[in-house]
Amino acid sequence: MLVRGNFDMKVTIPTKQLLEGVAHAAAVAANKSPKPILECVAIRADATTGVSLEATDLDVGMRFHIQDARVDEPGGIVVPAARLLSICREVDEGDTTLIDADGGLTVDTGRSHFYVRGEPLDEFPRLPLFSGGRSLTVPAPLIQNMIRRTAFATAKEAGRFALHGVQLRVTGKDVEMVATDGRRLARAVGSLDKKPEMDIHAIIGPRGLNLLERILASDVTEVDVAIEDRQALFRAGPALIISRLIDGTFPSLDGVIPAKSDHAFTSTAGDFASGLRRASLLTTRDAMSVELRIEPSSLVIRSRAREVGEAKVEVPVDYDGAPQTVGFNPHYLQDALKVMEPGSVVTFEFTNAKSPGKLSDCDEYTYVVMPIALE
Amino acid sequence: MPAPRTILHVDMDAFFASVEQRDHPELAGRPVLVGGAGRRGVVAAASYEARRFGCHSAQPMAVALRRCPDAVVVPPRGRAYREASDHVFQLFHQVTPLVEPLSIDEAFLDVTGSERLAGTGREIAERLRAQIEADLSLTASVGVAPNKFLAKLASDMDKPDGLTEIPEDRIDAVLLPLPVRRIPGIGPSAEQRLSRMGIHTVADVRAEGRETLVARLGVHGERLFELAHGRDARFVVPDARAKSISQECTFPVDLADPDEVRAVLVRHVESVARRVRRNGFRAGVVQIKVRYGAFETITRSKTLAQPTDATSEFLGAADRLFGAWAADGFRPVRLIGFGASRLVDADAQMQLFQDRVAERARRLDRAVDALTERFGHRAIGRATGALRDDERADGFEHEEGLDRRDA
Repeated sequence: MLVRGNFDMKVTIPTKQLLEGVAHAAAVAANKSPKPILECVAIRADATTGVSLEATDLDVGMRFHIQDARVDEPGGIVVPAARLLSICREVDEGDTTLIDADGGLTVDTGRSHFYVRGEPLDEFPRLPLFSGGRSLTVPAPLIQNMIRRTAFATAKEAGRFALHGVQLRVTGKDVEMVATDGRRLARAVGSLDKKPEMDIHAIIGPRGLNLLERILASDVTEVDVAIEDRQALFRAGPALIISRLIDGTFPSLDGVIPAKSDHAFTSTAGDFASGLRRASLLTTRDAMSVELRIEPSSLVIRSRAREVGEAKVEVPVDYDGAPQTVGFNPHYLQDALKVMEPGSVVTFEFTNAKSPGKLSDCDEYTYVVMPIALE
Repeated sequence: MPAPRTILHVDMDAFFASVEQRDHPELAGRPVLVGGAGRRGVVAAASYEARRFGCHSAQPMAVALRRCPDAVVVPPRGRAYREASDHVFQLFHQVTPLVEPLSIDEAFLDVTGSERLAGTGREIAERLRAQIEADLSLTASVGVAPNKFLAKLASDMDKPDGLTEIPEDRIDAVLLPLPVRRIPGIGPSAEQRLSRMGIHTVADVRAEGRETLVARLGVHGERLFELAHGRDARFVVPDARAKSISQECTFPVDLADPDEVRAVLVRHVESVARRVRRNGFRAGVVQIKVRYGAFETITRSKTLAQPTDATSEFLGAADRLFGAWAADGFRPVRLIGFGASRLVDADAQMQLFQDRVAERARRLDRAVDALTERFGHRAIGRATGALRDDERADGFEHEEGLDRRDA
């Protein structure tokens, strides 16, 4: 054994549960930070509340409670998250015992023994508790689906702060999430069974939301949401996620989502996506556009990249108007088609080569894309 | 063997100081220091009369005044310099479209193949110098040579108001006796290192084999070997045809304050962004370059989510790259540079919010560009790129002291 002398913490955890928690924590912890403690996961063991893992990069924080931990000795320690994750990925099935001894953590499982140097718990930033005050409860599948359908559309480039987050609004029973990078916009709506005590209006970064979405993938039925002054808190099953709110004003959506378009065709999400994917094989990063030629019962997607080549792909569609030509970044359309069921019927509405296109597979989801002017 | 080329390096003589002497005849013949007079002021330019006393650009004003107490200190007038510079560059463009600006007062011109129409390199240079003198009452020193390295070396050999040609058959005669520090890239520490190897002159470099130099100095050895033979294959690249647009500067001393380095980086970003826009490009990749310690130079690049020409987006990316490098262990910096590459013609992706955030940033960029065109590049800039208070009083950074070089 690697442990000698006294120890402060001893817990035994089913390896699978430990791996799940550490994987989430490692996703939250900073990759590279001037404060190395932010690259760590904190392990807390309490005789009554059990074992929890914490991680934060000060932008997003998470506390993850491990269901079936046995606490032999309470205590806690902070160790590098990536390191602990790579250990947890390799260790044997069954149970893993974690012991804090001599300023480090020993990880014992079956035939493997590790000792990782750590830091004392009090070095770790304090994460808030879910006060249980003003909060509302949302069904997990609803919020999970809404996140999946919007968060990808947030702005990636620097400098447009409000667009770096998803705008969450709860007005009465209505829930709305919107994200946009200025070139495309995703909007998902839903409704609650009963009117919550308060309304919500906040802009939340995609990292915290994507983490929530992943956690909801495992048997969680409800999410409690609380919006405080500067942070949003989500309590979802074993996890509490804290996400710093994004300052700034979200652009007004008035007039951005076209109420009515001149033309529309329908296809299945799978057919449309596969046509775009094939055509985009002949685009380059520098010439990222495809031409959509819509004719009765067929959509012809063309791409042309100077010095590379060209592609022409036909997709069966339902359309009976006069032929039309519009240009788009194929990836923007694919992003939305990816979050739709391949077999679902999608409607693409458009007016002309300078107006936004609108993609939808149901009343609860609208995706708007601005075109690219073709030469 | 590549076809012979004719390259001109044109360098205005003591540019800011000469403009001041021209505009204030009472200063003619007197030592003039352009720069802030404040306690921490820096010399932006020194007239040749002041240089005789050991004054030079990038020197603290207090030091310069100790060396030359009779010098007249003149606050810089960015707008006057910008106007003179614009005029000079117009003259360059009348000579050839292949003009690669190095700074406000310095450029490479490729005049290869102009012999039949315009005469030899020397004749073109002579006419250009005469034209500058006639139009602006300013003098320029010009070097004429088969490549950039030799042209720049030549322009420096007979300053001020000189014309030096290094023809093919004179290369060895000029180059061999030169001390190694005259080769670009050889700073004091490299010079020391070479000196320990017994290498003091270009002739000594040649005596070493390429392999020895590469073994001792890595890629720098390779480049040193080439330059020592007077070989430099770099093209003259006008911005409009550039694959990348960049700007860098070397500090006279290592900068130990990350914020100070960052402030210079911000100014590079602003200037590169302006040039990207002026040429109707967007850039898909940005890069920073940092030199520290003896020979250590790193570059870090980032691919942007979308090609852009927005200063704010370049700035965000540059800041993250620099922050990541600094977080890894900041060391005093000798050179900082910023570049934008994978240039594409400004794409035609339309925007959802025409009058919103991006548009506001675009309008800001356009307004700044317009002010810059009129009043010079220190007329306006981001506060994060601001000079220290007393330097700001200069209204102009000590550009002459910065070895500004376009990659």
